Amino acid sequence: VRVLLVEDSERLQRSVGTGLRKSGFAVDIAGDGPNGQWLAQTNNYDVIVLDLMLPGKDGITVLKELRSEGLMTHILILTAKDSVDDRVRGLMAGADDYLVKPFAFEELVARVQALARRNHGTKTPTLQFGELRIDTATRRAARGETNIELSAREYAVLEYLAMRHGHVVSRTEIETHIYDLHAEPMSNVIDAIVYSLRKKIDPPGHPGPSLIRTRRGMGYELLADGGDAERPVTA
Amino acid sequence: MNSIRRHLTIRLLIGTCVIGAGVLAVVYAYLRHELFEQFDATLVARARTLGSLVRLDDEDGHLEFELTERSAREFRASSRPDYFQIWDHHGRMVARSDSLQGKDLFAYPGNTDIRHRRRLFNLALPDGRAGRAVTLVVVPGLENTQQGDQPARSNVPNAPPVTLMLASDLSEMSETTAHVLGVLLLVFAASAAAMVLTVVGVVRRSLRPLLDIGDAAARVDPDTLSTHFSAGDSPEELRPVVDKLNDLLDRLDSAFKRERRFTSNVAHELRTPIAELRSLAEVAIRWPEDARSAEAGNFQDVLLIARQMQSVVTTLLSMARCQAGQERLSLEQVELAAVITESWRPQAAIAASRGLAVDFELSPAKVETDHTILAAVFDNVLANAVTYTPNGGRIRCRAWISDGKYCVEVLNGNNSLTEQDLPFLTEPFWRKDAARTSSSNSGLGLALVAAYAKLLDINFGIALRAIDLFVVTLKIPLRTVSGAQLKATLPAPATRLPVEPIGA
Repeated sequence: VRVLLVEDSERLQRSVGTGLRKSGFAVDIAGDGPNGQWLAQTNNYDVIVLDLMLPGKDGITVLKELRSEGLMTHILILTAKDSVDDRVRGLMAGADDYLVKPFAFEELVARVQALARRNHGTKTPTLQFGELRIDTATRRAARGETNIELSAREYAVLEYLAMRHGHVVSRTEIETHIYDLHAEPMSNVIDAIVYSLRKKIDPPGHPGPSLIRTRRGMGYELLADGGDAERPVTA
Repeated sequence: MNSIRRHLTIRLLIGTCVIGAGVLAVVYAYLRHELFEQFDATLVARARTLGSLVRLDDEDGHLEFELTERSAREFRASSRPDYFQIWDHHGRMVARSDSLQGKDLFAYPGNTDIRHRRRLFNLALPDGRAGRAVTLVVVPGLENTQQGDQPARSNVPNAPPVTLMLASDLSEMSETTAHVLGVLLLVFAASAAAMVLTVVGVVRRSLRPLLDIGDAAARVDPDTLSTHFSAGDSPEELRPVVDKLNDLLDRLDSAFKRERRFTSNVAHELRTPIAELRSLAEVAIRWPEDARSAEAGNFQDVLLIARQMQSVVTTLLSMARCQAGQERLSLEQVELAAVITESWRPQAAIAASRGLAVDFELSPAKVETDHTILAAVFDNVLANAVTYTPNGGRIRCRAWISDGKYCVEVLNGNNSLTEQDLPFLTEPFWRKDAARTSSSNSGLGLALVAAYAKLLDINFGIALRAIDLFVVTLKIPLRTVSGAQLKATLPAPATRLPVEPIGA
């Protein structure tokens, strides 16, 4: 899940950015309104965390302009302004959530995860694909009663494929949602991660096709059941 | 409870009733007087008629008196008879009315001087009724029977006068005056009732605009302070009140807005560093291995945040003490130019690093004041100048003595402030940057300077000169801050003390 953090406090940029990355999000950071707006316009984020009091252009203006341009990304306002008027103004301007500083970091992560799920039409934090169960709250995967040990990247790819269940997801799309702007992944890194994932999530001696199906020239798709290979797909 | 309406109503009613009663009393007195005048005139006329009936016989010199039948009826005994009695100039009775039934009407009034021959007075009639009498002294006519059949009558100038007293009943007059008085009282009662209704209505209608203003004032709350009372519909007398109320609303609105800005700004100034601290701590606790690698940086951040919050809290407390009058002054002789020089020292390196050109031209002077607070004033003014002067800009600080004051002027380049910003500059936490991004400034510097300047009796001013010059002026009285005694040591007027090196 890729997150844009628009925050002018450098200390919050560092701590929140670090925390979100460690929580498995790909995080881009902007320190002012115009830069944040530009990043939101030119990249495909799952969630935008937006401060209101920003240099250059205030958060409400950025929010309104992004919405007027048709951007549908979920936006969480993170601000020191705590009055009811401020909250109403922010939500009426198009924000999906509002969190007042100071905040609990766990709460921020939970809200960002909830918005990311909503972004992909999912409300429950647990995604079930046959025996495979993905808990987006604890960032764990299990097959039946057996936990699957995944690296952060493997989990991020699996979670994104799960959220995009029913769609063929290109390698580029996966990259843009699990890497931030500063990452420069190698060309076959997604293939390597998917290969590793298949070995972990498919049970040993699994006779049928893998849960992650490769669509030649298109990308990957996470199937509800490995045998459901003939189901029509949409890209 | 004091009520204008009740007060006005009662006073107006009392006033109008007193005036009405006075008018009616005058009317009554006038009518009564006229009635008595008329009564007296009639009485006198009747007495004269009686007097004309007294005749002096030219043959024997006797006085004769004879009533006509018509006149005699008025003096016969009846329920309300009149009375008369006539005396000659010796006091001997000449004639009296039958109604007296042989008694005297009154004691003989004496040989009245002819010049005072008429006198009117009240008396009790023989039958006990109240009456009024007239006494006339008349000269009898001459009874001459020698000229024809008809007796010729003429006055005899030298004939001895006779005294005639005529008394008449006053009860009819009393009834008339009582009737008039009753009518007047009825008129007064009706007028008073009409006056009550009129006064109550007029007062109520006249005070309606006041009540309307009161109702409008009752509807004002902190969210509607920008609405004003309408002066257009108000009476002329109330317009000054409406204007003053609108001025008050403007001031209240301004104060509420300032209070809201202050609350919002102080919330941001305190919430943001707390959020930074909390986020820093939570991330460090959750991923301790990463925190250990970034330990030095994290601690540096914690220290800076603590300093920032300490600065905000310390400044706020200082301002609160100033405003509450609890800041104690420690007076001592202070060399003013030296204080400015010392305040500049921490700013010099910053100014140099940003390429700021600095000019100082300071006259020396000593004054008895609080050294620490005065230094804080200059610390903030000079730090403000360095912070907001664009890179490569210029700062100029001049100080001179004028009119018993040590005048300090700090000019610095500025490319962001406008005239509209000036009223907000001394407002706590106000910043031109609405985003309040910088953590090194909290927007309290000039607010603290204003509070300290007031405490030290320093005339503090801010202005924009030309387009891009921001000017702070401080006029320090050359006397103790607690009294009027001049204690400054004044240098020779031409002396200038250049401060070197500053800004290096």
